[in-house]
This record gives sequence, structure tokens and C-alpha cells, in this order.
Amino acid sequence: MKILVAVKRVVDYAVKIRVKPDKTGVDTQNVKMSMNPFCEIALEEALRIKEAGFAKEVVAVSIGPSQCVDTLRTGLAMGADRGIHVEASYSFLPLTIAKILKSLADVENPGLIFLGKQAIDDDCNQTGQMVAALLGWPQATFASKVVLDKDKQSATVDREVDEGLETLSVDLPAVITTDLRLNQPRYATLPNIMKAKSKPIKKMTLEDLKVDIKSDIEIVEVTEPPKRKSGVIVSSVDELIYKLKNEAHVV
Amino acid sequence: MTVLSSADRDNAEKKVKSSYFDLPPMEISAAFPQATPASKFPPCTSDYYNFNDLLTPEEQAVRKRVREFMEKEVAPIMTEYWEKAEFPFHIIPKFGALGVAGGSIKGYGCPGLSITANAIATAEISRVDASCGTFNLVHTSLGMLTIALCGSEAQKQKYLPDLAQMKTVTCWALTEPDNGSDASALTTTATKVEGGWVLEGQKRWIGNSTFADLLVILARNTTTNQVNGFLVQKDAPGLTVTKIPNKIGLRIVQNGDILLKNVFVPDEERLPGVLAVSRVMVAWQPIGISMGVYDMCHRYLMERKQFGAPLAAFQLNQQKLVKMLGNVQAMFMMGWRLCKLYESGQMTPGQASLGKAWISSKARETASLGRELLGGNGVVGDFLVAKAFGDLEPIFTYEGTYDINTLVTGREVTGIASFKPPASRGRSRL
Repeated sequence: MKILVAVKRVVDYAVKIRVKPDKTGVDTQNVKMSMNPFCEIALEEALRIKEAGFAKEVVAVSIGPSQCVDTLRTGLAMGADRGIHVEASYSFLPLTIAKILKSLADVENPGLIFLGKQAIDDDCNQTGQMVAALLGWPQATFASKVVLDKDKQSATVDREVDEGLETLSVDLPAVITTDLRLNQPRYATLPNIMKAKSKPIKKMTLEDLKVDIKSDIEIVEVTEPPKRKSGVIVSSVDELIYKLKNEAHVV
Repeated sequence: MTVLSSADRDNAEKKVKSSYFDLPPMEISAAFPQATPASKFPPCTSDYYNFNDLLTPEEQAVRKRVREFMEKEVAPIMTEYWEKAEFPFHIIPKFGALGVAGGSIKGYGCPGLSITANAIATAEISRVDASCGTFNLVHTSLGMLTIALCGSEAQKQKYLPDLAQMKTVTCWALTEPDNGSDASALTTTATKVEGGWVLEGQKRWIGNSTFADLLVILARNTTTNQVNGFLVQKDAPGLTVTKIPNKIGLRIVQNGDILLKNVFVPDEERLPGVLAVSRVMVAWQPIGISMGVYDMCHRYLMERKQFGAPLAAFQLNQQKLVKMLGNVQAMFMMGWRLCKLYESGQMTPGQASLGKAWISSKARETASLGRELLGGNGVVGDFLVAKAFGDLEPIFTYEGTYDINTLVTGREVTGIASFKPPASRGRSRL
């Protein structure tokens, strides 16, 4: 079985981001970029499944500008067997990404597609679900535990939901998105970093995959959240109730 | 009324005194709230000319990985171990898992890094803690490399894989009390006996030797009069290794005095050749240290305030900082070019010596400026710079002192060797 893992290049979680003066987005010039932490967890799970003998190959995919190759190399250094870079000059929203991944799945025929539950730059939490819908495959999102059954060709997944944990069984091929507590991603060792050099990264274009990239969504404006205002000290309970009622409008 | 006997009175007074006098030191963030200590390592701001561009993607990945490792595992503990002059043995398996040991050696479980990648790794280790840089340098570029270049296939198979994972640690014993710069005059002997050799002599300054599992000892083969390497196990009868105390720098490295009294080494543990190609790697330690010093000073100058402004607002401080920054770029450039010369097989001994001498000298200046910038905190190890300042002193001296390296380059560019003092000519011409 082949496992496809989608990895996204995002602003590093530790960076203090700033909004561009023209409000078209976040400033990413000269800012440290890394693999999305949830994608790392997805890749780690795929690698563990392969090491347990349930999969033959782990393929990492990234969609974006040429620097995505760095992200793929990190994935190869962790242990992925090969990479696919889909060249795109700007960042796409989840539906376009999902369409690209569907096209790739039609070509690669994986038994499992792993994604992070969401990217830390847009927090969309949509791509995995959309890929599953486009492919007509079952999905198990927010996975905190994945157990494969080779004979039944299915996966039992614990999902972290608001009410607690939900256990699902999905038939393969399926889409799984990963949550924080699924695993601790491994660090690449220096020998593996050097070995990653010789692993192939295939370049593909949107034309190759015949994907329509017209987006239905336009980002109008990006602004910082309003600065937190200082509080007010009230002199009595009556004054508090008055303010809650007439100023904050919460009672 | 109870009258305390004198004994009781002393005890009572003792109890009162000790609760006042014997408190442990204040936590550094409470003692000096304005600035972040080195345990939370500063981000890298010293790559001003973006030398990362010159590195291949693998070299960039190695740099990033080693930096992450050092900032996470070593930065929080190094001040304490430096102060106590002890080695944090518990991180050896972690270093082993990182896969940095063995550097550019190919095969036998070694990472097969490019020369530049190995150099960058050395710099990134030293940026956080120079002693760890020396620990790895001795293990990888002296001990392991000697076995890889001069050992038999059997010796390489036997020793390198475990050394690469740091399941075992090695050292390299050349220097003697009477023979430092004049290393080729070493007097430790290896005399042929039935089935092997007997080593006799004394070594000094040998890093890692107090705990190394395998010691590579350089001794004079009394049959051929050539210097050979001999692989000695720790606990070999006749071998005594003791720690050298009272060092002012690289205090985490455990340097040993080694006594060899009738130490038997079997035939199969003799290495036919001896080589030292580590001068290039050593030149990268001061580069890394200077990067760390700059990174620390940059953050400190933004955090620390006096007279109502951050230290970075004062002209004299900016001048020192920028001077340090210029030094770092120049050192990096020189080190990088040296790696390229080495990789292409062109490098001469004079070029390597110039690199090590010039770079270590510039680094000393950089650390000195940094020490000034941090004021009082420039004399305590908690803020990195004082530790780096001390560490650069042995680095300025080892692997060829500044002076000796200068004369190596001097001989190469003039054709005239000036190592030996001029012979006495009888009457002075003055």
C-alpha cells in the first residue's frame, strides 16, 4: 500500500507575525518558514505505519512555490521515500488544494491519504474533508489514534471531538487528518539528512494535473485583532450590572 | 529561667546563622530580570550576509538540525556543567542519536557529511557550547578519522560503527608534557614484543581521555623510529588517566594526563599511519563561538536598559556590536573558502594554518568586545559571553598555537622556516 501525505510550508509557529501595511495578508518576506506542525504529525504516523509493515511507500506532497522543495526535503530526511512538488506561484485555498490532491490520488492510487487537521496559518480545517468528498472516500478527522487492520483493509481511528473521544472504523482507501496527540514527530538525524539528497522529488504543474484553479473566495482584507483595551474598576455591584446591560450588552 | 549552656548556645546561634548564610544562589532570571540568560538561547542574528545561501540544501538542513539540538539539549544545562568543570554524560546518547559523530567519514554507520556540512555542524555546536564542539571534534575528527584513514578494514569494522553512534567514545593522544608545539619530537615509545607492542610514556591535555572507551595513542615505533597510532582500551593494565583541573576555558571538556607504564597493545591494534586533518574543522569552532556571542549581545543590548534607554541606543555600544558583526562575516567567509579549497583537493598546510590562526585571533577580539557589552553579566557564564571568552583561550592555543600556525604559513609564503631559535653566533654584532 502507498501512503500519500500532504505537507504545507507555513510561517514557523514561533515567529511573531505582522500584517502587511496594504492589509492583503501576513508579511512572509524574510520570515522563518517550516513544515506545518500537524503535517509533521501526519508524516510521522505514515512513517510508523510503513515501519510496522502495513505500507510499502510514503510519498510526501507539497503545493506552492519552489521553496516547498525545502519542506519536502525535511520530509524525506524524516523518512519519506519520495516527494512530489506541485508548482504554484501563490497560495491556494483548501478547495483548490483538495482538487489537486484528488488529481494526484487518481494518478498515485494510495491506500491512505494523511493530512494535518489544519494549517497554522489559515486554520481552515477543510482540506482533508474536501479531499475525501471529492474522492468519495471515507474520512476520519482529528485522529488521536490510528490502528490498521490489514486483513479487513480498514482503519480504526479515535477522534478528538468536543464531547470527548469518538471511535470510527473506516474502510481503505480513506482520508485521515491528524490531531496534536496522535504522536511525537521524530527528529531527522544527520545521516538521514544526507540520505535525503538522493531521494527523488518529482515536479508537476497544474496543467499536468488538469486542475481548475479559479477560486470562489477572494480575500478582501487582513487586519490584526483589535488591541485589548484596559479594564475599568467599578464602584458597586449596581454599577457593574448597569455596565453589563447598557454598555457591554451581555445581560 | 533556663540558662543555655555554652554548647546549646552555639547550636542555637548556628541554626540562626545557617538559614541566613547558606541559601542557594538566586535564580538568574530573578537576580537579573532585564535580560534573558543563555539557557534560553538567543535567535541567530549573526548571519548578516546570509551565508546560508552558499550552503547546499543538505548543509542548510544539517545546520538547522544541529542548532535545534544544541539549543534544546545543551543550552539549558551548560552553565552549571561549565562551572563545575564536569561533563554531562547523559547527553552522549542524544549526540549519538543526532548522528553527527563520524562527520565526513563514508560508510561504517557514519553520516558521510560534506566537509562544509561537517564544518557547519562544528560551528553550530560551538555556537552554543564550545566544550561540546571540542568533545565532538576530538571524537570525530581526531579519533574516528584517524581510524578511518589509517586503520585496517578489520579495525574500521570493529570500532567505527559504535563510535558513530557514540555507544563508545574515543580520544587522540599526541601531546606530551615535554612535547607540545614540537609534537613530532614525541618521546612515548612503542617497543616490539611477542604478539604486540609495549607502550611507555606520558601524555598531557588529552580531551575525553578520562572517560574514553578507546584511546588512540601516538607513540614512536622504536624499530622504525616512525610515529604510529595504537588503539588502547580503557582499563588496560599500566594505563592511568587523571583529570587536569583548574582550567579557565573549555571547562566541560575532560582533559587528561595519561601515564603509560608497560601498556601492552596487540599487533592487530596498531595503526600503520598517522594523520591530522582537523585544522579546518578547528577553525570553525571560533566562527561558531563568535556567532553565539554576537547573537547573545544583540539580544542583550535590546533587552537591557540604563538611563531610560536600551543599551542598543548608545553609540559606543552600536560601534562594538557592528565591529563584532563584521568580524563574524569575515571569519565565516574565510572558513567557507577554506572548506572549498579542502574539498577540491587544493588546500595547502599554510592555507589551513592561516585560517585557524586568523580566525581564532578575530574571535578572541569579538568575544572581548562582547564581554564589555554585557557589563557585569559579561563575567558570569549564565550569559554565554564570559564562557565563550574563557573557551577561546585554549582554542587560540590548541591544534597549533597562533604563533606556530603563523610560522607554518610564513614558511610556505617565504620558503624560509623560522621555527627554531637562531643559533648562537658567538659575539653579538650590536
